[in-house]
Amino acid sequence: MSENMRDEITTHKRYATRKEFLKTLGVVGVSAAVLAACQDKPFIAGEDLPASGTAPVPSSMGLTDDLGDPLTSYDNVISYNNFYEFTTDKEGVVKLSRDFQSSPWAVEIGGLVENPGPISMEEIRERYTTEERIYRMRCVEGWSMVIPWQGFPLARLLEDIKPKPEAKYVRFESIYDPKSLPGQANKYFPWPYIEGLRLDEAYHDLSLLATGIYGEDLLPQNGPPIRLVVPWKYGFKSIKSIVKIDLVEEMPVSLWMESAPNEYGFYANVNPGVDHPRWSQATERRIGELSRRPSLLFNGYENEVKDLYADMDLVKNF
Amino acid sequence: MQIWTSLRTSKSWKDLKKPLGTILHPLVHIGSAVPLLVGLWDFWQRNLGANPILEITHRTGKTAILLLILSLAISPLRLLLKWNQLNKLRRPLGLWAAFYAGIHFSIYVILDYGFQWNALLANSLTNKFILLGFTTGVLLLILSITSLTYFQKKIGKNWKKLHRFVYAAGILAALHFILAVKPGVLRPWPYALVIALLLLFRLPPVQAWVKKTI
Repeated sequence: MSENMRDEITTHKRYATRKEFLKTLGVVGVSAAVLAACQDKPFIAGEDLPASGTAPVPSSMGLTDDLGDPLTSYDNVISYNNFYEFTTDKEGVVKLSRDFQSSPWAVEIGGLVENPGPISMEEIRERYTTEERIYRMRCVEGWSMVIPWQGFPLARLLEDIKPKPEAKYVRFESIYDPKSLPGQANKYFPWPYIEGLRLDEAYHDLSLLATGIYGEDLLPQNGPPIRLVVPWKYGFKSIKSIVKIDLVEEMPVSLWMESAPNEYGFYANVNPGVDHPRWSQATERRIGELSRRPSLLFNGYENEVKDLYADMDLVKNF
Repeated sequence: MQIWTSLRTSKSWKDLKKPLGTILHPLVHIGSAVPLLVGLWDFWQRNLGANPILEITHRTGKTAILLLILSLAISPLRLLLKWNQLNKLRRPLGLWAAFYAGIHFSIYVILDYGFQWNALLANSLTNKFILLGFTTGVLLLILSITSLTYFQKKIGKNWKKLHRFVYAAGILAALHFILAVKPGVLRPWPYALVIALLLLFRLPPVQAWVKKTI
Protein backbone atom coordinates (compact mmCIF):
# COMPACT_ATOMS: atom_id res chain seq x y z
CA MET A 1 0.00 0.00 0.00
CA SER A 2 2.58 2.52 1.12
CA GLU A 3 4.88 1.22 -1.57
CA ASN A 4 2.24 1.84 -4.20
CA MET A 5 1.67 5.32 -2.94
CA ARG A 6 5.35 6.11 -3.07
CA ASP A 7 5.50 4.77 -6.60
CA GLU A 8 2.56 6.87 -7.56
CA ILE A 9 4.13 10.04 -6.29
CA THR A 10 7.48 9.49 -7.98
CA THR A 11 5.83 8.49 -11.21
CA HIS A 12 3.59 11.47 -11.25
CA LYS A 13 6.51 13.72 -10.48
CA ARG A 14 8.57 12.19 -13.23
CA TYR A 15 5.65 12.28 -15.58
CA ALA A 16 4.83 15.87 -14.80
CA THR A 17 8.46 16.88 -15.27
CA ARG A 18 8.53 15.24 -18.66
CA LYS A 19 5.36 17.06 -19.59
CA GLU A 20 6.92 20.36 -18.57
CA PHE A 21 9.90 19.56 -20.74
CA LEU A 22 7.75 18.71 -23.74
CA LYS A 23 5.68 21.77 -23.16
CA THR A 24 8.71 24.00 -23.42
CA LEU A 25 9.43 22.35 -26.73
CA GLY A 26 5.92 23.23 -27.78
CA VAL A 27 4.96 19.63 -28.38
CA VAL A 28 1.88 19.38 -26.24
CA GLY A 29 0.92 22.98 -25.81
CA VAL A 30 -1.03 23.04 -29.03
CA SER A 31 -4.64 24.03 -29.19
CA ALA A 32 -7.59 21.71 -29.52
CA ALA A 33 -8.48 23.12 -32.91
CA VAL A 34 -5.08 22.23 -34.34
CA LEU A 35 -5.33 18.78 -32.83
CA ALA A 36 -8.74 18.17 -34.29
CA ALA A 37 -7.39 18.92 -37.74
CA CYS A 38 -4.29 16.85 -37.21
CA GLN A 39 -5.36 13.47 -38.53
CA ASP A 40 -1.98 11.78 -38.26
CA LYS A 41 -1.71 11.86 -34.51
CA PRO A 42 -5.10 12.71 -33.16
CA PHE A 43 -4.48 11.02 -29.83
CA ILE A 44 -1.78 13.19 -28.42
CA ALA A 45 -4.04 15.50 -26.55
CA GLY A 46 -3.13 18.94 -25.32
CA GLU A 47 -3.35 20.20 -21.79
CA ASP A 48 -5.62 23.00 -22.91
CA LEU A 49 -8.49 20.68 -23.70
CA PRO A 50 -11.37 21.00 -21.28
CA ALA A 51 -12.40 17.93 -19.35
CA SER A 52 -15.82 16.69 -20.35
CA GLY A 53 -18.31 14.79 -18.25
CA THR A 54 -19.68 15.77 -14.90
CA ALA A 55 -17.98 13.25 -12.69
CA PRO A 56 -14.99 14.38 -10.67
CA VAL A 57 -12.23 12.23 -12.15
CA PRO A 58 -8.91 12.75 -10.49
CA SER A 59 -6.43 13.62 -13.20
CA SER A 60 -3.14 14.80 -11.88
CA MET A 61 -1.89 15.93 -15.25
CA GLY A 62 -4.98 17.49 -16.72
CA LEU A 63 -4.37 15.34 -19.79
CA THR A 64 -7.29 14.04 -21.80
CA ASP A 65 -8.05 11.67 -24.63
CA ASP A 66 -9.25 12.85 -28.05
CA LEU A 67 -12.81 13.18 -26.77
CA GLY A 68 -11.74 15.39 -23.88
CA ASP A 69 -12.05 12.72 -21.21
CA PRO A 70 -9.42 12.92 -18.48
CA LEU A 71 -6.94 10.15 -17.75
CA THR A 72 -7.92 7.45 -15.29
CA SER A 73 -5.84 7.89 -12.16
CA TYR A 74 -2.48 6.15 -12.15
CA ASP A 75 -3.42 4.36 -8.95
CA ASN A 76 -6.49 2.78 -10.55
CA VAL A 77 -4.72 1.90 -13.80
CA ILE A 78 -2.06 -0.07 -11.95
CA SER A 79 -4.34 -1.73 -9.38
CA TYR A 80 -7.42 -2.86 -11.33
CA ASN A 81 -6.29 -5.37 -13.90
CA ASN A 82 -7.64 -8.34 -15.78
CA PHE A 83 -4.65 -10.64 -16.12
CA TYR A 84 -5.97 -14.20 -15.77
CA GLU A 85 -2.44 -15.63 -15.94
CA PHE A 86 -2.18 -14.48 -12.33
CA THR A 87 -5.75 -14.53 -11.02
CA THR A 88 -9.31 -13.79 -12.09
CA ASP A 89 -9.52 -11.31 -9.21
CA LYS A 90 -8.86 -7.89 -10.74
CA GLU A 91 -7.54 -6.42 -7.53
CA GLY A 92 -5.41 -9.45 -6.73
CA VAL A 93 -3.15 -9.20 -9.78
CA VAL A 94 -0.83 -6.53 -8.35
CA LYS A 95 0.29 -8.67 -5.46
CA LEU A 96 0.61 -11.95 -7.37
CA SER A 97 2.52 -10.39 -10.27
CA ARG A 98 5.05 -8.54 -8.15
CA ASP A 99 7.93 -10.96 -8.86
CA PHE A 100 7.13 -11.51 -12.51
CA GLN A 101 10.37 -11.51 -14.54
CA SER A 102 10.04 -9.79 -17.90
CA SER A 103 13.75 -9.44 -18.59
CA PRO A 104 15.51 -10.93 -20.47
CA TRP A 105 12.76 -11.27 -23.08
CA ALA A 106 12.51 -11.95 -26.75
CA VAL A 107 9.63 -12.06 -29.20
CA GLU A 108 9.73 -14.93 -31.67
CA ILE A 109 8.64 -13.88 -35.15
CA GLY A 110 7.38 -16.72 -37.31
CA GLY A 111 4.92 -18.01 -39.85
CA LEU A 112 4.44 -16.43 -43.24
CA VAL A 113 7.14 -13.75 -43.08
CA GLU A 114 10.32 -12.95 -45.01
CA ASN A 115 12.26 -12.19 -41.83
CA PRO A 116 11.53 -14.74 -39.10
CA GLY A 117 13.47 -15.24 -35.89
CA PRO A 118 13.63 -13.93 -32.36
CA ILE A 119 13.91 -10.21 -31.61
CA SER A 120 15.22 -9.28 -28.17
CA MET A 121 13.57 -6.50 -26.19
CA GLU A 122 16.84 -4.55 -26.38
CA GLU A 123 16.62 -4.70 -30.13
CA ILE A 124 12.97 -3.68 -30.10
CA ARG A 125 13.68 -0.72 -27.84
CA GLU A 126 16.59 0.32 -30.03
CA ARG A 127 14.82 -0.07 -33.33
CA TYR A 128 11.47 1.51 -32.54
CA THR A 129 11.10 4.91 -30.95
CA THR A 130 8.01 5.06 -28.81
CA GLU A 131 5.41 7.76 -28.72
CA GLU A 132 2.61 8.48 -26.30
CA ARG A 133 -0.94 7.45 -27.16
CA ILE A 134 -3.86 8.23 -24.89
CA TYR A 135 -6.46 5.55 -25.53
CA ARG A 136 -9.78 4.55 -24.08
CA MET A 137 -9.82 0.95 -22.85
CA ARG A 138 -13.26 -0.66 -22.74
CA CYS A 139 -13.47 -4.00 -20.94
CA VAL A 140 -16.06 -6.50 -22.15
CA GLU A 141 -17.29 -6.63 -18.54
CA GLY A 142 -18.63 -3.09 -18.81
CA TRP A 143 -15.99 -0.82 -17.33
CA SER A 144 -13.49 1.48 -19.00
CA MET A 145 -10.41 3.60 -18.48
CA VAL A 146 -8.39 6.29 -20.27
CA ILE A 147 -4.75 5.25 -20.32
CA PRO A 148 -1.57 6.95 -21.54
CA TRP A 149 0.55 4.29 -23.27
CA GLN A 150 4.06 4.48 -24.64
CA GLY A 151 4.47 2.38 -27.72
CA PHE A 152 4.92 2.16 -31.46
CA PRO A 153 2.52 1.16 -34.24
CA LEU A 154 2.40 -2.57 -34.90
CA ALA A 155 2.66 -1.58 -38.57
CA ARG A 156 6.33 -0.59 -38.03
CA LEU A 157 7.17 -4.11 -36.93
CA LEU A 158 5.15 -5.68 -39.75
CA GLU A 159 7.01 -3.56 -42.31
CA ASP A 160 10.28 -4.96 -40.98
CA ILE A 161 9.30 -8.61 -40.76
CA LYS A 162 7.61 -8.46 -44.20
CA PRO A 163 4.47 -10.63 -44.31
CA LYS A 164 4.30 -12.93 -47.35
CA PRO A 165 1.43 -12.34 -49.79
CA GLU A 166 -0.55 -15.33 -48.52
CA ALA A 167 -0.56 -14.02 -44.91
CA LYS A 168 -4.05 -12.90 -43.89
CA TYR A 169 -3.93 -12.68 -40.09
CA VAL A 170 -1.53 -11.94 -37.25
CA ARG A 171 -1.52 -14.43 -34.39
CA PHE A 172 -0.18 -13.34 -30.99
CA GLU A 173 0.85 -15.63 -28.18
CA SER A 174 1.42 -14.77 -24.49
CA ILE A 175 3.92 -16.29 -22.14
CA TYR A 176 3.21 -19.81 -20.84
CA ASP A 177 4.95 -20.50 -17.55
CA PRO A 178 2.69 -22.07 -14.89
CA LYS A 179 5.54 -21.90 -12.38
CA SER A 180 5.53 -18.10 -12.30
CA LEU A 181 1.92 -17.64 -13.47
CA PRO A 182 -0.36 -19.21 -10.85
CA GLY A 183 -3.54 -18.50 -12.82
CA GLN A 184 -2.41 -20.94 -15.50
CA ALA A 185 -3.24 -23.72 -13.03
CA ASN A 186 -6.88 -23.00 -13.92
CA LYS A 187 -7.34 -25.76 -16.49
CA TYR A 188 -10.61 -24.36 -17.75
CA PHE A 189 -8.62 -22.12 -20.06
CA PRO A 190 -6.57 -23.51 -22.97
CA TRP A 191 -3.31 -21.72 -22.13
CA PRO A 192 -1.33 -19.93 -23.44
CA TYR A 193 -3.38 -16.83 -24.16
CA ILE A 194 -3.84 -16.39 -27.90
CA GLU A 195 -5.19 -13.39 -29.78
CA GLY A 196 -5.35 -12.34 -33.38
CA LEU A 197 -5.98 -9.50 -35.79
CA ARG A 198 -6.85 -9.39 -39.44
CA LEU A 199 -3.87 -8.04 -41.38
CA ASP A 200 -5.57 -4.74 -42.25
CA GLU A 201 -6.54 -4.26 -38.60
CA ALA A 202 -2.96 -4.96 -37.59
CA TYR A 203 -1.65 -2.38 -40.09
CA HIS A 204 -4.06 0.27 -38.79
CA ASP A 205 -2.21 3.17 -37.19
CA LEU A 206 -4.20 2.83 -33.97
CA SER A 207 -2.90 -0.72 -33.35
CA LEU A 208 -0.11 -0.23 -30.90
CA LEU A 209 2.63 -2.37 -29.45
CA ALA A 210 3.03 -0.82 -26.03
CA THR A 211 6.10 -1.04 -23.83
CA GLY A 212 5.20 1.67 -21.34
CA ILE A 213 2.34 3.14 -19.37
CA TYR A 214 2.02 6.50 -17.66
CA GLY A 215 5.55 7.45 -18.70
CA GLU A 216 7.34 4.40 -17.36
CA ASP A 217 7.98 0.80 -18.41
CA LEU A 218 4.94 -1.48 -18.21
CA LEU A 219 4.46 -2.74 -14.66
CA PRO A 220 4.09 -6.51 -14.06
CA GLN A 221 0.29 -6.24 -13.81
CA ASN A 222 0.02 -4.39 -17.15
CA GLY A 223 1.61 -7.09 -19.34
CA PRO A 224 5.33 -6.32 -19.64
CA PRO A 225 7.59 -6.01 -21.44
CA ILE A 226 5.51 -5.69 -24.60
CA ARG A 227 1.79 -5.94 -25.25
CA LEU A 228 -0.81 -5.12 -27.83
CA VAL A 229 -3.27 -2.22 -27.46
CA VAL A 230 -6.20 -2.16 -29.90
CA PRO A 231 -8.42 0.60 -28.53
CA TRP A 232 -11.54 0.04 -30.66
CA LYS A 233 -11.90 -3.56 -29.48
CA TYR A 234 -12.79 -4.98 -26.08
CA GLY A 235 -9.85 -5.06 -23.73
CA PHE A 236 -9.29 -8.81 -23.92
CA LYS A 237 -8.02 -8.39 -27.51
CA SER A 238 -5.08 -6.37 -26.19
CA ILE A 239 -2.92 -9.37 -25.37
CA LYS A 240 -0.24 -8.95 -22.71
CA SER A 241 3.38 -10.14 -22.34
CA ILE A 242 3.77 -11.27 -25.96
CA VAL A 243 6.36 -13.99 -26.68
CA LYS A 244 5.38 -14.92 -30.23
CA ILE A 245 3.99 -13.20 -33.30
CA ASP A 246 3.06 -15.35 -36.29
CA LEU A 247 1.69 -14.35 -39.65
CA VAL A 248 -0.89 -16.93 -40.73
CA GLU A 249 -3.36 -17.65 -43.48
CA GLU A 250 -6.24 -18.94 -41.34
CA MET A 251 -8.14 -16.91 -38.75
CA PRO A 252 -6.47 -17.62 -35.38
CA VAL A 253 -8.62 -19.09 -32.62
CA SER A 254 -8.18 -16.97 -29.51
CA LEU A 255 -8.25 -18.32 -25.97
CA TRP A 256 -11.64 -16.74 -25.39
CA MET A 257 -13.07 -18.03 -28.68
CA GLU A 258 -12.05 -21.52 -27.66
CA SER A 259 -13.33 -21.16 -24.07
CA ALA A 260 -16.74 -19.71 -24.92
CA PRO A 261 -17.32 -19.45 -28.69
CA ASN A 262 -20.87 -18.15 -28.32
CA GLU A 263 -19.77 -15.30 -26.07
CA TYR A 264 -16.47 -14.10 -27.50
CA GLY A 265 -15.86 -13.68 -31.20
CA PHE A 266 -12.75 -12.98 -33.23
CA TYR A 267 -13.54 -9.33 -33.94
CA ALA A 268 -14.74 -8.21 -30.49
CA ASN A 269 -15.25 -4.65 -31.66
CA VAL A 270 -16.77 -2.43 -28.99
CA ASN A 271 -20.41 -2.15 -30.01
CA PRO A 272 -23.21 -0.90 -27.73
CA GLY A 273 -25.74 -2.40 -30.16
CA VAL A 274 -24.49 -5.95 -29.86
CA ASP A 275 -24.98 -7.37 -26.39
CA HIS A 276 -22.89 -10.01 -24.75
CA PRO A 277 -25.18 -13.07 -24.52
CA ARG A 278 -25.44 -12.57 -20.76
CA TRP A 279 -25.24 -8.80 -20.32
CA SER A 280 -25.89 -5.56 -22.13
CA GLN A 281 -23.04 -3.60 -23.69
CA ALA A 282 -25.06 -0.39 -24.05
CA THR A 283 -23.39 1.39 -21.14
CA GLU A 284 -20.15 1.32 -19.23
CA ARG A 285 -18.69 2.65 -16.03
CA ARG A 286 -15.60 4.77 -16.47
CA ILE A 287 -13.38 3.90 -13.53
CA GLY A 288 -13.42 6.89 -11.19
CA GLU A 289 -16.91 7.99 -12.19
CA LEU A 290 -20.17 7.28 -10.42
CA SER A 291 -22.81 7.16 -13.11
CA ARG A 292 -22.73 4.97 -16.17
CA ARG A 293 -22.06 6.49 -19.57
CA PRO A 294 -23.27 5.23 -22.94
CA SER A 295 -20.75 3.05 -24.75
CA LEU A 296 -19.63 4.22 -28.18
CA LEU A 297 -19.47 2.26 -31.42
CA PHE A 298 -15.85 1.13 -31.93
CA ASN A 299 -15.18 2.69 -28.53
CA GLY A 300 -15.37 6.17 -30.06
CA TYR A 301 -12.88 5.41 -32.85
CA GLU A 302 -15.61 4.97 -35.45
CA ASN A 303 -14.23 7.51 -37.90
CA GLU A 304 -10.81 5.93 -37.82
CA VAL A 305 -11.78 2.26 -38.21
CA LYS A 306 -15.25 1.97 -39.75
CA ASP A 307 -13.81 1.41 -43.25
CA LEU A 308 -12.24 -1.82 -42.05
CA TYR A 309 -15.71 -3.28 -41.58
CA ALA A 310 -17.60 -1.59 -44.40
CA ASP A 311 -19.27 -4.71 -45.79
CA MET A 312 -19.44 -6.70 -42.61
CA ASP A 313 -22.40 -7.77 -40.51
CA LEU A 314 -21.25 -6.66 -37.07
CA VAL A 315 -23.92 -8.69 -35.30
CA LYS A 316 -22.79 -11.90 -36.96
CA ASN A 317 -19.11 -11.04 -36.71
CA PHE A 318 -19.16 -10.07 -33.03
CA MET B 1 -20.73 -42.96 13.70
CA GLN B 2 -20.15 -44.45 17.11
CA ILE B 3 -17.81 -41.60 17.99
CA TRP B 4 -20.28 -39.09 16.65
CA THR B 5 -23.10 -40.50 18.76
CA SER B 6 -21.01 -40.58 21.88
CA LEU B 7 -19.82 -37.04 21.28
CA ARG B 8 -23.33 -35.79 20.72
CA THR B 9 -24.66 -37.47 23.83
CA SER B 10 -21.63 -36.61 25.99
CA LYS B 11 -22.17 -34.61 29.12
CA SER B 12 -19.77 -31.83 28.22
CA TRP B 13 -21.64 -31.16 24.95
CA LYS B 14 -24.92 -31.11 26.82
CA ASP B 15 -23.43 -28.68 29.32
CA LEU B 16 -22.18 -26.50 26.50
CA LYS B 17 -25.52 -26.47 24.66
CA LYS B 18 -27.37 -24.64 27.42
CA PRO B 19 -25.28 -21.45 27.61
CA LEU B 20 -24.74 -21.53 23.85
CA GLY B 21 -28.48 -21.74 23.32
CA THR B 22 -29.07 -18.48 25.12
CA ILE B 23 -26.61 -16.52 22.99
CA LEU B 24 -27.48 -18.02 19.61
CA HIS B 25 -29.90 -15.26 18.71
CA PRO B 26 -27.66 -12.31 19.55
CA LEU B 27 -24.79 -14.15 17.86
CA VAL B 28 -26.75 -14.38 14.61
CA HIS B 29 -27.65 -10.70 14.70
CA ILE B 30 -24.16 -9.52 15.52
CA GLY B 31 -22.56 -11.81 12.95
CA SER B 32 -25.03 -10.76 10.27
CA ALA B 33 -24.41 -7.08 10.93
CA VAL B 34 -20.64 -7.42 10.61
CA PRO B 35 -20.47 -7.35 6.76
CA LEU B 36 -22.60 -4.20 6.77
CA LEU B 37 -20.38 -2.50 9.34
CA VAL B 38 -17.21 -3.54 7.55
CA GLY B 39 -18.66 -2.21 4.30
CA LEU B 40 -19.53 1.13 5.86
CA TRP B 41 -16.08 1.35 7.43
CA ASP B 42 -14.40 0.61 4.09
CA PHE B 43 -16.58 3.20 2.41
CA TRP B 44 -15.60 5.74 5.07
CA GLN B 45 -11.93 4.82 4.62
CA ARG B 46 -12.25 4.86 0.80
CA ASN B 47 -11.08 1.30 0.86
CA LEU B 48 -13.41 -0.12 -1.78
CA GLY B 49 -10.93 -0.19 -4.66
CA ALA B 50 -11.06 1.19 -8.18
CA ASN B 51 -14.65 0.17 -8.85
CA PRO B 52 -16.45 0.78 -5.54
CA ILE B 53 -20.00 0.31 -6.82
CA LEU B 54 -19.18 -3.09 -8.29
CA GLU B 55 -17.30 -3.96 -5.10
CA ILE B 56 -20.27 -3.27 -2.82
CA THR B 57 -22.59 -5.00 -5.27
CA HIS B 58 -20.44 -8.11 -5.05
CA ARG B 59 -20.03 -7.92 -1.29
CA THR B 60 -23.73 -7.58 -0.52
CA GLY B 61 -24.58 -10.32 -3.01
CA LYS B 62 -22.07 -12.72 -1.50
CA THR B 63 -23.26 -11.94 2.03
CA ALA B 64 -26.87 -12.58 1.01
CA ILE B 65 -25.96 -15.97 -0.48
CA LEU B 66 -23.85 -16.86 2.54
CA LEU B 67 -26.72 -16.10 4.96
CA LEU B 68 -29.13 -18.00 2.74
CA ILE B 69 -26.74 -20.96 2.91
CA LEU B 70 -26.60 -20.70 6.70
CA SER B 71 -30.38 -20.65 6.92
CA LEU B 72 -30.48 -23.74 4.71
CA ALA B 73 -27.86 -25.40 6.89
CA ILE B 74 -29.95 -25.15 10.07
CA SER B 75 -32.16 -28.18 9.47
CA PRO B 76 -29.27 -30.56 8.71
CA LEU B 77 -27.32 -29.20 11.68
CA ARG B 78 -30.29 -29.59 13.97
CA LEU B 79 -30.63 -33.18 12.91
CA LEU B 80 -26.94 -33.98 13.17
CA LEU B 81 -26.53 -32.28 16.55
CA LYS B 82 -29.99 -33.21 17.82
CA TRP B 83 -30.34 -29.59 18.82
CA ASN B 84 -33.87 -28.30 18.27
CA GLN B 85 -33.14 -24.80 19.51
CA LEU B 86 -31.30 -24.14 16.25
CA ASN B 87 -34.62 -24.02 14.44
CA LYS B 88 -35.30 -20.57 15.86
CA LEU B 89 -32.40 -19.22 13.85
CA ARG B 90 -33.90 -19.90 10.47
CA ARG B 91 -36.08 -16.82 10.53
CA PRO B 92 -33.43 -14.23 11.54
CA LEU B 93 -30.92 -15.75 9.10
CA GLY B 94 -33.46 -15.71 6.29
CA LEU B 95 -34.46 -12.14 7.11
CA TRP B 96 -30.86 -10.98 7.14
CA ALA B 97 -30.28 -12.73 3.80
CA ALA B 98 -33.30 -10.88 2.38
CA PHE B 99 -31.99 -7.64 3.88
CA TYR B 100 -28.64 -7.97 2.08
CA ALA B 101 -30.40 -9.04 -1.12
CA GLY B 102 -32.47 -5.85 -0.79
CA ILE B 103 -29.35 -3.68 -0.48
CA HIS B 104 -27.77 -5.60 -3.37
CA PHE B 105 -30.81 -4.83 -5.53
CA SER B 106 -30.96 -1.18 -4.42
CA ILE B 107 -27.29 -0.64 -5.25
CA TYR B 108 -27.92 -2.02 -8.73
CA VAL B 109 -30.95 0.16 -9.37
CA ILE B 110 -29.97 3.35 -7.55
CA LEU B 111 -26.17 3.57 -7.59
CA ASP B 112 -25.22 1.47 -10.60
CA TYR B 113 -27.95 2.57 -12.97
CA GLY B 114 -28.99 5.77 -11.21
CA PHE B 115 -32.68 5.10 -11.95
CA GLN B 116 -32.01 5.05 -15.71
CA TRP B 117 -35.09 2.93 -16.21
CA ASN B 118 -34.67 2.44 -19.96
CA ALA B 119 -31.13 1.14 -19.62
CA LEU B 120 -32.16 -0.91 -16.62
CA LEU B 121 -35.09 -2.47 -18.39
CA ALA B 122 -33.07 -3.18 -21.53
CA ASN B 123 -30.35 -4.77 -19.46
CA SER B 124 -32.72 -6.79 -17.30
CA LEU B 125 -34.76 -8.20 -20.13
CA THR B 126 -31.78 -9.34 -22.15
CA ASN B 127 -29.87 -10.74 -19.23
CA LYS B 128 -30.72 -14.08 -17.79
CA PHE B 129 -28.63 -13.46 -14.72
CA ILE B 130 -30.38 -10.20 -13.86
CA LEU B 131 -33.78 -11.87 -14.26
CA LEU B 132 -32.65 -14.75 -12.07
CA GLY B 133 -31.42 -12.33 -9.40
CA PHE B 134 -34.64 -10.37 -9.56
CA THR B 135 -36.73 -13.53 -9.16
CA THR B 136 -34.63 -14.59 -6.18
CA GLY B 137 -35.17 -11.17 -4.60
CA VAL B 138 -38.94 -11.31 -5.10
CA LEU B 139 -39.04 -14.80 -3.55
CA LEU B 140 -37.03 -13.66 -0.54
CA LEU B 141 -39.30 -10.64 -0.13
CA ILE B 142 -42.43 -12.83 -0.13
CA LEU B 143 -40.84 -15.25 2.33
CA SER B 144 -39.76 -12.36 4.57
CA ILE B 145 -43.22 -10.84 4.74
CA THR B 146 -44.95 -14.17 5.31
CA SER B 147 -42.45 -15.05 8.04
CA LEU B 148 -44.33 -12.71 10.36
CA THR B 149 -46.20 -14.64 13.03
CA TYR B 150 -49.43 -13.00 11.85
CA PHE B 151 -49.10 -14.53 8.39
CA GLN B 152 -47.84 -17.79 9.79
CA LYS B 153 -51.11 -18.19 11.66
CA LYS B 154 -53.22 -16.87 8.84
CA ILE B 155 -51.74 -19.16 6.18
CA GLY B 156 -51.89 -22.11 8.51
CA LYS B 157 -50.90 -25.52 7.29
CA ASN B 158 -49.78 -24.34 3.87
CA TRP B 159 -47.18 -22.06 5.44
CA LYS B 160 -44.59 -24.80 5.56
CA LYS B 161 -45.14 -25.60 1.90
CA LEU B 162 -44.86 -21.93 0.99
CA HIS B 163 -41.58 -21.59 2.82
CA ARG B 164 -40.12 -24.53 0.94
CA PHE B 165 -39.66 -21.93 -1.80
CA VAL B 166 -36.46 -21.04 0.00
CA TYR B 167 -34.98 -24.07 -1.78
CA ALA B 168 -35.86 -22.46 -5.10
CA ALA B 169 -34.32 -19.22 -3.89
CA GLY B 170 -31.10 -21.09 -3.15
CA ILE B 171 -30.94 -22.61 -6.63
CA LEU B 172 -31.79 -19.32 -8.33
CA ALA B 173 -29.22 -17.40 -6.29
CA ALA B 174 -26.49 -19.87 -7.25
CA LEU B 175 -27.44 -19.68 -10.95
CA HIS B 176 -27.54 -15.89 -10.75
CA PHE B 177 -23.97 -15.87 -9.41
CA ILE B 178 -22.69 -18.43 -11.94
CA LEU B 179 -24.15 -16.58 -14.93
CA ALA B 180 -22.84 -13.22 -13.75
CA VAL B 181 -19.17 -14.12 -14.19
CA LYS B 182 -17.07 -15.05 -17.20
CA PRO B 183 -16.78 -18.78 -17.90
CA GLY B 184 -13.75 -20.21 -16.13
CA VAL B 185 -14.10 -17.85 -13.17
CA LEU B 186 -14.49 -20.21 -10.23
CA ARG B 187 -15.74 -17.84 -7.51
CA PRO B 188 -19.43 -18.94 -7.60
CA TRP B 189 -18.75 -22.65 -7.51
CA PRO B 190 -18.04 -23.19 -3.80
CA TYR B 191 -21.33 -21.45 -2.98
CA ALA B 192 -23.21 -23.46 -5.61
CA LEU B 193 -21.70 -26.71 -4.38
CA VAL B 194 -22.70 -26.10 -0.75
CA ILE B 195 -26.23 -25.15 -1.79
CA ALA B 196 -26.47 -28.31 -3.88
CA LEU B 197 -25.34 -30.46 -0.94
CA LEU B 198 -27.79 -28.79 1.44
CA LEU B 199 -30.65 -29.38 -0.97
CA LEU B 200 -29.62 -32.98 -1.57
CA PHE B 201 -29.91 -33.43 2.17
CA ARG B 202 -33.65 -32.71 1.83
CA LEU B 203 -34.29 -35.61 -0.51
CA PRO B 204 -36.47 -38.24 1.25
CA PRO B 205 -34.06 -41.17 0.70
CA VAL B 206 -31.17 -39.10 2.07
CA GLN B 207 -33.29 -38.03 5.04
CA ALA B 208 -34.24 -41.63 5.76
CA TRP B 209 -30.62 -42.73 5.54
CA VAL B 210 -29.40 -39.96 7.85
CA LYS B 211 -32.09 -40.61 10.43
CA LYS B 212 -31.28 -44.30 10.41
CA THR B 213 -27.52 -43.90 10.72
CA ILE B 214 -27.23 -41.23 13.39
